[in-house]
Amino acid sequence: MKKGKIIFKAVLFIAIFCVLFSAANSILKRKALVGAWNTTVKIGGLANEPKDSIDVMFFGSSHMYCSINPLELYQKTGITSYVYAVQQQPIWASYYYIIEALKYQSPKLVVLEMYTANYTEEYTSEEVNFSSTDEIGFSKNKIDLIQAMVPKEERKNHYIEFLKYHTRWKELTKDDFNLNYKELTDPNRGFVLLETSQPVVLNAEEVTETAQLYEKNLEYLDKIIALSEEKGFDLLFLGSPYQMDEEQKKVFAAVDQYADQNGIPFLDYNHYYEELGLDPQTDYYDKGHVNYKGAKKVTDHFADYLSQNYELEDHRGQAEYQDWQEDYESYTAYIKELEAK
Amino acid sequence: MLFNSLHFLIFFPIAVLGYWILPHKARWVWLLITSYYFYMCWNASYALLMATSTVITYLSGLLIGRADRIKNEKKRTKMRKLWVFLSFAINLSILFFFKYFNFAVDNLNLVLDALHIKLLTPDFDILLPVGISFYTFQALSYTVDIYRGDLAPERNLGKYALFVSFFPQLVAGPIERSKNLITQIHEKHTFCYSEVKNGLLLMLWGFFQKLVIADRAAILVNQVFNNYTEYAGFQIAIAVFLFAMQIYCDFAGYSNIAIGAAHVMGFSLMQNFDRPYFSKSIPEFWRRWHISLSTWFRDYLYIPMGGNRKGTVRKYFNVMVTFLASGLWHGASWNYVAWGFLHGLYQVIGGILKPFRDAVTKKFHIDRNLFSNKLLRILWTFLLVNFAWIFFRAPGITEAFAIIGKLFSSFNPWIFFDGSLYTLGLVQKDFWMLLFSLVILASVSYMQRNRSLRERLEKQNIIFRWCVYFIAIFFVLIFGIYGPNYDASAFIYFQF
Repeated sequence: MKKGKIIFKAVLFIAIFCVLFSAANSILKRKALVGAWNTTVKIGGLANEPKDSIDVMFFGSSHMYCSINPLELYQKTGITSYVYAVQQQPIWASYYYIIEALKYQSPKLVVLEMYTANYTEEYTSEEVNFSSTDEIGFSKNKIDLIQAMVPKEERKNHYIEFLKYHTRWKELTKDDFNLNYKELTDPNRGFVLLETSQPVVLNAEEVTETAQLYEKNLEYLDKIIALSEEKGFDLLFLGSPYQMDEEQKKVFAAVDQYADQNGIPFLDYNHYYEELGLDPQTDYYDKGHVNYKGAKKVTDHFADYLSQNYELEDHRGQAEYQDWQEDYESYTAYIKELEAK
Repeated sequence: MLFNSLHFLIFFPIAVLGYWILPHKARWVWLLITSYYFYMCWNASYALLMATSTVITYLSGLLIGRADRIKNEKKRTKMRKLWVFLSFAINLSILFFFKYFNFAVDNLNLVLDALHIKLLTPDFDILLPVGISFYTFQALSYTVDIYRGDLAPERNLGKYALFVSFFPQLVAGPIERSKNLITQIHEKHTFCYSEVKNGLLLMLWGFFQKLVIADRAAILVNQVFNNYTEYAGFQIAIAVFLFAMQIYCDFAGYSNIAIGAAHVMGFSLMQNFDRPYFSKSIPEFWRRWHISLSTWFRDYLYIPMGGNRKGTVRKYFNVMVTFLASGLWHGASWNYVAWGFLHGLYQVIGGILKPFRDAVTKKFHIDRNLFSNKLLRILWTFLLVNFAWIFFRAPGITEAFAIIGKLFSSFNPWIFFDGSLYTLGLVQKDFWMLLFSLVILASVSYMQRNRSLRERLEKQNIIFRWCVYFIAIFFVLIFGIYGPNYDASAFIYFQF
């Protein structure tokens, strides 16, 4: 056989292989498309929002995505926002999530929830690593995220997700074959709507000691501040209200100190239980997270805070933002139905 | 690096591309470098060990060649034997130290203990060098081949080193003969599209055997053998049967990848497995199982001891010694020795009973060529082989007997119907995938009895062929067992 023909056949073979492989990869990949935690839609959906239409972006862990409801915030102030967070997302992942978000949006304000300042290990668990990296499309930023987030010997499983997810053939569902999932948008703009409630004990007692912030957290907080200066967005640290123990309070005290030193405001709602009017009997999903009722109270307060401290555009009534109003109405209809049950 | 690793998937195309791009003169150097790199991925310092064996056997070849030119016949014979002896002594000592030292010390202590003698012996923490049994045997065969005059001594140390370290068959065979491989190292190979393709197809088949069957069967086998006290009757029987499948697919799969990889570079290595479970007797099984090892023992141990030329009793003795040695070669533990012993014993008993069996066949006019008769012999052989595998797989010899006890302790055919089949380590879907793959294996093995399947496939049109290739590739990629464990529930928790 002639050399040219061999090369042609080899190239064709590899090309067909790549097409089939990418199809198999998309089908077998883990997807979270339904339910409250449809993170694939929430994270992937940001790319499908109109470019530069979001003014405030929220980053952090589950404490972030259940505490602020962008639709309520829009209703009250006309400010557009989006929660770009996955469960237990550490600060170093948030750094790369900010970079990722900047590809699609130019937020005026970036809000970082500080719960994961409590982390003291270099690496989070394998599942956290996967849920943080899986949702980001392949790019240099994803490689950087994997380098920062995943122990060396496990990185190959993140570059080639097929290594891990090929065994999912046993649990494929109809959703897995819907290859349009990358075009979906999330009407809740990243907010995770938690419906049930569980009583908690809130302890407003203050601590005097401060903990030492873990160095990897410090490193990435510094990076985030540098990024905000470089890209010209404002930065705000947030503490969502939850049932804290004493150690965690010391960590938040250290965050407070760090924020102070760097001239970043730190809005720690654990000092404002009263002002928020949180009801420990009804407003919590569990001791770590507020439910949708709690989120409404936090969002209301936060809306006032934004109005007082930032000059952000009110998009209400603008034609391009019509879908925000529609999504808010569907949301309230859903809540009405929920509460009628 | 293992064949079933991402590392090899990157290494192999580079090795192959480099090989075909370089001119003939440089190719052996490239292969030597890639082979040592391949080996050093496990443990760099153990490459020195392989190099030592290489140099010793290389020198033995040159020295035997020089001794051949000695005029005085007595002296010549003496010198030739001396060099063979030294080569074997040094190489086997290395092998003994790294593979059998702790085993020997443990047993010595047991004996001394029985005699109420206390001996403190250091227990070295020796890590078994990968493939040491394979390359040592391959290198030793060179010494004997030179001694026998089958081959002229190799003068180029580099090329000789490549013979010992050639990466496709370095760590798990086939154990090549010097005559076959050294000759091919000297030959100029020209790129042949269909040979490259055939090599790749054989590798793909090997990956199917290894990843889809062997590694899947291993999950159930490990569960049952490691917790045998919790299982009985048919549960044990299933595990034993699947272990027979596992070890065959593991080993034959690895051999096929090796032979295929060598083929991609124009080398043809010897066949290592010839559908062994279709054998109709134990001696036939050993002509079809791990052929490169059994012929090694035949040529370099059994025949030099006299083989079957010195009377029946001596023949049986030689068979027993050969199989005990083969057992020990497989691992430094008594259960491997017991496994070898059983296979020797099968053949001795078979030999003793042969006149009796022949008489029965004659008396009752049994046609040994009937399908039913052949099938019966195949099943009986398979049963004997399976029984011996229990000793091979069990963690130790007492456990092997305990497992056999559990095998006969209960008659529980209901496990096939009440779903408990799927609690042996493989969930239902995996279990059926395993059975389906075994059906493919059996069908392919059956079709292979006349002609190579690859030749038949080559005659089909390109669309059909490519469909087959892609289906096979993705079957292995999706249904193979590799990569980190995915546990959906770990993500579900985790809602928070």
